[in-house]
Amino acid sequence: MAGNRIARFCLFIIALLVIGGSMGGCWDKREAEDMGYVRATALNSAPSGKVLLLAQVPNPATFAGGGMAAITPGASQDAKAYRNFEAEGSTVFEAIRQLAIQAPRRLFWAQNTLIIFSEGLARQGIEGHLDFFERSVEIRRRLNHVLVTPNDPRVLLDVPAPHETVPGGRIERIIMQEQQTSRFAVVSLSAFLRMLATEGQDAYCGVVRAQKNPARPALVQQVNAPEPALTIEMSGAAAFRGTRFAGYLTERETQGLLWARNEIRGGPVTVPSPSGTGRVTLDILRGKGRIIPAIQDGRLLATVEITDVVAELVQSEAPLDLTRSEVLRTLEHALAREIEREVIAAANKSQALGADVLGVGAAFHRKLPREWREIKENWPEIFPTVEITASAEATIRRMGFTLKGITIKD
Amino acid sequence: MNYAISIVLATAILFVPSITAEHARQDAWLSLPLAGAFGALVTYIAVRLALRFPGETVVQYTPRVLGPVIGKLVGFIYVYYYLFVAYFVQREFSELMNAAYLERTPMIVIIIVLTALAVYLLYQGLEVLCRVNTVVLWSMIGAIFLIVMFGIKEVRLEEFLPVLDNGPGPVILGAVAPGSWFGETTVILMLMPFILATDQPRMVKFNLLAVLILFLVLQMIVVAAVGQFGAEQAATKLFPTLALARHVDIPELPIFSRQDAVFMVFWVAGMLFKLTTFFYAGTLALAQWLNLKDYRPLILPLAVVITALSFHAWIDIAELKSFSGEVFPFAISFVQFFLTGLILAVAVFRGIRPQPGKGGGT
Repeated sequence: MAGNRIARFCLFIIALLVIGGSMGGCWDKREAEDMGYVRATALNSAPSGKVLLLAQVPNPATFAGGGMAAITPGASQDAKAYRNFEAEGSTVFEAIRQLAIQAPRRLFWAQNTLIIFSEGLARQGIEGHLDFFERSVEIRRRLNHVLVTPNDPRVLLDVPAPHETVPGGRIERIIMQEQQTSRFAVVSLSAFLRMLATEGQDAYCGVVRAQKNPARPALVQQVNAPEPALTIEMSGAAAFRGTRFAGYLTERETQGLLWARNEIRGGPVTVPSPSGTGRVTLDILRGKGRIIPAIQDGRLLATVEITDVVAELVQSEAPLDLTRSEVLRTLEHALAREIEREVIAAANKSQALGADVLGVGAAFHRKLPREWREIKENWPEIFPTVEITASAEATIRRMGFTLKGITIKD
Repeated sequence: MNYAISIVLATAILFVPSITAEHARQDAWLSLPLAGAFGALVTYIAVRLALRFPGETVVQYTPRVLGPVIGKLVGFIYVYYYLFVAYFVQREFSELMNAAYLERTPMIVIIIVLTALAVYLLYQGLEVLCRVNTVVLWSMIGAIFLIVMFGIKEVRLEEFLPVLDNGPGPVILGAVAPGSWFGETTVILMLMPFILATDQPRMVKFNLLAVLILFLVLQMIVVAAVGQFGAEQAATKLFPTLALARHVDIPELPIFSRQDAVFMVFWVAGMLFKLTTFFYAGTLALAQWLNLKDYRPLILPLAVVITALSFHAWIDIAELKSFSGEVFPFAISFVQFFLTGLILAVAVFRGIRPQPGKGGGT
């Protein structure tokens, strides 16, 4: 029994030593309140080939109950809801660590959702910078959106607004509304990397801009909270050739691109009314797109086939008698033609830019792998010569709460 | 059965999907049925052999089957095989923890913590291990299932085209790694005496079922990884399953994003069980090889030995990963398939039966 007690005592001493000794050596301890949660990261080119990195860090204190300053009567100004830190570095990581000489908290990238490249930097190619984001342990590849901006990120990420005060958060909220319009591309880092890696597919991503706020009146009457001079807007897409920015797609072209990529989940399309006067607007509910490649007599053909489009009639400027089914058929026909024109617009632009963002080459690779082997080496030269056509089919399933539209007495 | 699944699953899901995708690209999903068939064959051989000598372990009967000298030698290969897998597990575990979560913690600390737990479990015995395992395994499979389901909308079927772009060669190459992992069920050669005599006849069915479930889970992961990342991206990822867990994003339910730590809880437990099992098998095998009455005195010394080995056997994660793709499958398949098959063949040929009085379970 005595031996047992001595053994127990020894164990107790060993446990004390181990626990006590390890107290001072907790390597990866991080406290939530010591972290600076980066919401948005923007990269711009700096002179001498360096990179300028801007990190947006919200101030959590301003989120709780609207911020103390706002409730305190007489407080002249709210605490700023975020801080933008900028640093220059020869590489992205250099710049990130350089931020630590001004940021009071350890910057943490797991909550980052936006990676914004300035157009100038994107023109030089982003391969080297992307590597950091692909490799990073903190960055979540699916939860980050890749964006290009024509603006200076300093301006873009400091556009004020009374609601959604943090610009990064605002951009993210706008991105969540993408299905309402389908007029800008939403591409996660993961999808962007996948496009870069896929044979016969060039990458594209969304575009974010700081625009002059059209809602701001010429004569500002409000003293406290006038409409801000600038507003943030997502619009169109940026096409890449390899990892270099090649050009922008307009909103209409982007819609066509999304059709071909089978990424349309909504958005309005307006066509001339079958009654001859006015226009009819249809809201897309769903639809499918795919690219069907073919080789005929040595010519490369690609048909973008849009099927199963279901739309809702949301507005008709002139009264339409929808009890007659041929009216609906005419509308469906018009909708299908308009979708085809959008797709062709996207195809023409991508061929003009020499950036195969639709993935025509990838379609050849998948459907005609043997032929693809012969053309893939020269694909960048061949792609602009591919004859791309579009064929769409659409049905209008719903028409709101009225069949004939407003009746006006004769 | 549970046990057989979890001892393979934990490490298989770490590297195997990307090793397979590296070879077979978009045809990775075709590699797995091949691997599954090979795994089933290996398992069948191993269980048949184990059932021929139901009261003994492989180390005990090989000298009788192959003759004392060669038998002892082969027995030692088995001892080493179990310990080898054990320290491979230690290293894989610590590499992932180091890379993804505990960047600054020295690797040796992570290994020691895991090994200390395994040692504790070994002193507790096999039964405790199996009971806890039942809980953890099904939670892990549930977690994997949820991860795959959450991402199912993102799986793009066109990523799997064109089928057999580079012929069947790469598909077969891609099957090598998962095939050898499935064969790790040969640990049954050490565990058979501890299975109730009444359950023993059902072991063939149980183990084949385990391989089937393993195959399904791994297939699910491979399809999700290739479909979501594309074949090229899936092949370059170091930890594809963790990447899948981190990929979960349901915009309407942001609570499910960034929950990879929950998945890691089960994975860590799975790794612990795998380590403990192979460590147990290795310790027991060595004790029997040395004709010791009890394996317990060997636990601590062997723990130190495998910890040192795991630390020194590979330089870095790049080497570990190529090792698990190019060397590990062949090394363990040699034992699992070739040696086990050989012993069975010789035993059948020479008509060697268990010694009287040693039959039946314990």
